[in-house]
Amino acid sequence: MKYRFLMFTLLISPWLCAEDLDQWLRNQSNSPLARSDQIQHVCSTPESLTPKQRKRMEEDAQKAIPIPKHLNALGDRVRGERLAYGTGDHDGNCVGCHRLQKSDVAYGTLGPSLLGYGSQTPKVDQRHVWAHLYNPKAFNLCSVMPRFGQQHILDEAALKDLTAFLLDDASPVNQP
Amino acid sequence: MFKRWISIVLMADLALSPVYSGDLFATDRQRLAEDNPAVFAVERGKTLWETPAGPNNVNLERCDLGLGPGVVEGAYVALPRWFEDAHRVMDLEQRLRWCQKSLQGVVSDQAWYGTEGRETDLEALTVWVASRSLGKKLDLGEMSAPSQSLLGLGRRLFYKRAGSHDYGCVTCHAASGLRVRLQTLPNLLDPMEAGPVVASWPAYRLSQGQVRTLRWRIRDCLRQSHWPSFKEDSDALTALELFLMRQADGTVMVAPAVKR
Repeated sequence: MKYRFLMFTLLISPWLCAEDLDQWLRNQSNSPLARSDQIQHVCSTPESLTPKQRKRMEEDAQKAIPIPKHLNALGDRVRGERLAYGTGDHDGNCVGCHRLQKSDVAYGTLGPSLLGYGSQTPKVDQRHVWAHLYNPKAFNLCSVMPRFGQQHILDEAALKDLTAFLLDDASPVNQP
Repeated sequence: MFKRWISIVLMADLALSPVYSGDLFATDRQRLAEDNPAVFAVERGKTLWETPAGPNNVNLERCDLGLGPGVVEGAYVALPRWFEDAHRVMDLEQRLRWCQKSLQGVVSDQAWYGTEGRETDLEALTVWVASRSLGKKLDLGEMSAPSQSLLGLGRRLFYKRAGSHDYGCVTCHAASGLRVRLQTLPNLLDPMEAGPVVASWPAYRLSQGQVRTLRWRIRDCLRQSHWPSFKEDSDALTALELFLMRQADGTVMVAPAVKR
């Protein structure tokens, strides 16, 4: 009995710690810092995460991605390009972290280069790309990449246009 | 003509070279530092410190920055620290404001930080006090219990991921050699990289056209991470500042420097 109680405490302790940090921060900002969700909580102390927990959370997140039924045609790659280079609140600002095309100079290196992303063999499935943009944490729980769809940074159409920008053969991403 | 062509090739080479790993703007900054406009703020800060002000019409020469009333020399390197009279761990800016209130009787809440091209009195005072630690090593020494617990919170805050984009300090500053666009990101978990960064603040910030402080920089960093704007006086900012000061412990102060 004692042992079970100890195990329970150990299991929820990362949660408790994160909770008290949130509590401490509550009145320190001008607008409230949104309550951290579960992914933010566990990824603030990723060393406390077991591989099993990680896998389960990723699977749950994958199930929650609302892939559009009509995702058969590619979106507008020109608009996608604009979103990839834009820095507004509802832009992707992908170039901040990724190299997107040959001519890029001011690209970040926090994420991998995406040169030729759409010309790989076998071709990347557009449903996978859309889902990855919607919630990259579903595939790598503590990825540094934002959950563009789930956190309402980009809407369904924007994600589709970015998918086109990445996969379309005519896109600058896929020019040799 | 030929010279121009050479320089264009050299610049392109530097920008596109795959093996390039340093800071692209380091040389420009060094050149600018030779004529650092922060000297004007330092001068103004000194005058503000010495001139009587506020309802009590006294200057700040009795302000205790941790080394005793009026001691400015080397005060910056041991801040933030615990102040018994205020019952709080404070950094230089918080302490200066505390002195303005308790000694000079200032009641109105002046802005902490200026807009582009303008510096506040607080910024001028901060850069002046910090400049009197030039060449001294950052040294928090034996930390008090409250400082240690705030340091612990600062460390946890560094790793915290939050906001619409799930960002935190750790997103950009936990590995070496990474960039956001062209901006090189220091690995603040590595004292060798954190040191020079921390020891160069307060600094003349080119993009702001004025001097800004480390506290301002941390606050701005959180803004860029899509976190809500933190209150200037918040303990969270002091905690992160304390964490960075600890990371940079032992580094020789070069502030005020010139920043992009």
